[in-house]
Amino acid sequence: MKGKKGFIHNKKGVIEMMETFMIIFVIFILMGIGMFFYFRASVSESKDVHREVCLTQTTELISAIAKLTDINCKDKHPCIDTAKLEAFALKSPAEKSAVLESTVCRKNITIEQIYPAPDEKGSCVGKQASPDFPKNCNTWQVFSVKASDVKGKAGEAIAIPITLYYPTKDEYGMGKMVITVYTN
Amino acid sequence: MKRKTGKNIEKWRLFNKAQGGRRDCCLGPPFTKAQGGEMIGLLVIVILMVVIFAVYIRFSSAPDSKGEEARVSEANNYLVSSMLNSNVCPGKSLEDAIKAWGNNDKVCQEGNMEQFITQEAETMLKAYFGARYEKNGKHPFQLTIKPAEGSSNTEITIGEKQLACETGGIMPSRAYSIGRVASMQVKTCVSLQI
Repeated sequence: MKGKKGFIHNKKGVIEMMETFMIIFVIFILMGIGMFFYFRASVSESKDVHREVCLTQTTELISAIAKLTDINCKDKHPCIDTAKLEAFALKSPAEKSAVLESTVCRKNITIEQIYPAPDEKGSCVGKQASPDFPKNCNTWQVFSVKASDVKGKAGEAIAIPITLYYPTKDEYGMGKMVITVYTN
Repeated sequence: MKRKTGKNIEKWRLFNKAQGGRRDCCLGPPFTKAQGGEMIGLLVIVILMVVIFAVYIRFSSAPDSKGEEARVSEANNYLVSSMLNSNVCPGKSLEDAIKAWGNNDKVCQEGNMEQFITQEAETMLKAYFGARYEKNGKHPFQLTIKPAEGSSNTEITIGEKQLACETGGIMPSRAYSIGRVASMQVKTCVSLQI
């Protein structure tokens, strides 16, 4: 559309072109906003899926630990033999990893004694022979991840009740298995 | 759409002119440029609305809570089982104490078995739930020990008589039969065990 004096002299054409550019501009803005929200929702959803997978795995792990022949009692369920538990807690991290490590998320597993109420707090490893046991301690660290591996990650604790067997006294108590899952 | 050759081309020109279009523009469909632009605009709006609706449907679906419910259900079953297994005095478990109560017998040198069972079960629950045991005078759980039919004993209830949860539903454990003289069951608010 070449005119006599300039490149474009048709006013209507210029207005229409401007209109077209403005429409394209608005469409791009709308698409940009849409993509921003889509990706934000997508990232949020993938985090939720990761968390859900971690928690599902943990639920399965709880059942697996309760049935683990290395630490469970012979005749009751869910029951953990504290003598076996102590031996298991002293195993090397590599040996424990083979049984308890998850590829999806990292976790700490602790067993706490709650009934009868302990008089003292602290690790029960090496205290089985004491006449005060099980009142002289309250925890067994079954599995732990390196602090550097979970630095800055949010931990979510899942507790499940469990029966504890004290073979030195031939008595049963109540405890809880606390699994701290690092999901994010 | 008819081919625009021969006699038709003149008809197209007249039609287009009548619609306010350019004189030399008759090789396209029977719409003016302005109308075509409007239609494309409408199409874009419709496409955008469809995309927005699809994204909304994709992300508005409620999250699956089956995993959480399974975990709470398992926790409740483990809770009842662990309580029953625990020793309330040397050589006697809570299960033995409930059996004795059901048979109008006595264990652990206790005179009032109902009171003893209630006290020990409360201690266990307090130890397990900790700070969540009671909130604003309400308990987010209910533990019931029901005597068998025909028994002279009355039902033992610890926690809320009528359990109502502020958020989430109620998850019961399975009812554990204790030597055919009683059964024990716990119900908790789903949010309590998560």
